[in-house]
Amino acid sequence: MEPSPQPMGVAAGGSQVYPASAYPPAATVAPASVVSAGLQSGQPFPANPGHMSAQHQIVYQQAQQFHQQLQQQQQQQLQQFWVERMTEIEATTDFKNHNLPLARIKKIMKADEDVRMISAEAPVVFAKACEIFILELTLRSWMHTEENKRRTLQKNDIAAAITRTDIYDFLVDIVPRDEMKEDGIGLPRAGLPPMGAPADAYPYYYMPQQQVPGSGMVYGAQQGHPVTYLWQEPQQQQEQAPEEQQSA
Amino acid sequence: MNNPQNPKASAPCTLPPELPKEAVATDEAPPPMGNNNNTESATATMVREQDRLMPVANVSRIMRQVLPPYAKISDDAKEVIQECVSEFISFVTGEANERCHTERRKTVTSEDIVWAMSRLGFDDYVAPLGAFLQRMRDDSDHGGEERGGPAGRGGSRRGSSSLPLHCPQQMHHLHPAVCRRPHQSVSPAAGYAVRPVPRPMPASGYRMQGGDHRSVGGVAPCSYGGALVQAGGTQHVVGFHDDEASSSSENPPPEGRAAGSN
Repeated sequence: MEPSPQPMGVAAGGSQVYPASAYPPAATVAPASVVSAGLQSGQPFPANPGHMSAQHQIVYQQAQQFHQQLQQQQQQQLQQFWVERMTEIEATTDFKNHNLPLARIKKIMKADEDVRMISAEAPVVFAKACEIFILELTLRSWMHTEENKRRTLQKNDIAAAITRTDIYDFLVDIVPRDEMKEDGIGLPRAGLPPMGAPADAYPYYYMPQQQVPGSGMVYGAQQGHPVTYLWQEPQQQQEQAPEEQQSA
Repeated sequence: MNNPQNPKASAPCTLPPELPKEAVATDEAPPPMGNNNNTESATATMVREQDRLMPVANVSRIMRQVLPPYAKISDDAKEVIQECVSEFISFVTGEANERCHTERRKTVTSEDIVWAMSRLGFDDYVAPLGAFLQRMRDDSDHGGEERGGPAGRGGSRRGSSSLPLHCPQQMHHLHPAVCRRPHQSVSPAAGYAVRPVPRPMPASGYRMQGGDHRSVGGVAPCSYGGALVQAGGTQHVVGFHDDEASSSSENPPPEGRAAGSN
């Protein structure tokens, strides 16, 4: 890991630039301190700006590839999910028994005072819709559980799924904010143990979340658009789209 | 027209306190979040805590269907999903009910539910639910024919279903104006605009018989709504299936069904 970036740094002669944005010399100090503090492992970074540029570029590319693969994998899981839903419905033969009690569905519908009459089929359709809703939300939550190398689906996994998915905006009030913060805390710890290079890339990419807002913003600016939105995500729910694209 | 309907409409209501609140419905269109808050406050005051959520056993069982065998689910995660499901029902119901008000209808139908989901971004749900509705109705028709006892009810249902054929056409006529995405219009008898008076019939109640459902006495009086839904559903499902090319082959022609009903 350490020897490989050196030749590239030397070849570049210190004039190498990041693909996402320019890398001004004046900003080299702040990111270094942020990264060092975040890692907390005291991993030495060379003082040479050229080397730092090279290392940053490699780490950034690795993180990018990792997330692209992860996103593709999750998209495939979701597509498979919907294919299975259609297959399961077409194979249904029993319409008398439902996975959810119709009486309770009707009571929840009736809780809205504006609702007057409900057709007999409406709760049945809702029972099926809620089943699909539970399955999809659970699947998206489990993706987050797997990203953190856990086997127990937790509240913060559901919070992460809600923040990442636009159609779940109406659920943001269901999950407290602290669950979303816990999301950030969980990532670095879980990311450290696995494979060498990606392990370095993963926590490195997300450390800014734990720093003060100023430092986070500075670091985010260096890395470009995605990180900035990632940091802003807890404060602005409207930034759902970039967050979802990152598939963090 | 409304005056005669009120006494009959009030009869099937299972919640007596709601009777005096029946008034002229306004065409207000509050934002989803506003609707959410209203629903939450209504829920807190009207429904017991126990009945506000889906049973945790049912929720857990469904969750496990999509998780690997070694997966564990924490208790707080189950509770959150329970809350999310209730919120989902209230969210979609509110949107569906808005459509009913816009179209001057009082009964929330399964088509309204599916329409509300597509409007709220749950587009992926439309095809599976459309297929589910279609298969459920096919199953009901077969069930009615197979048994001797229900034959009488089946006849009654067929008789009642001929009347509501007018309403779905009217509903279909209004559909393009309401829905953002234009649907293909299918109106065999576009001239009809008369809306028949709803009559309580037990036919639909029979179709919905089940362990949990049996305890709800108010379901049977809504049989007319059910019959209306069935007739209307045929045309409405056609609209949805037209959008989904892969599903269109599964849907029988509505005219044939209408003829069968007559």
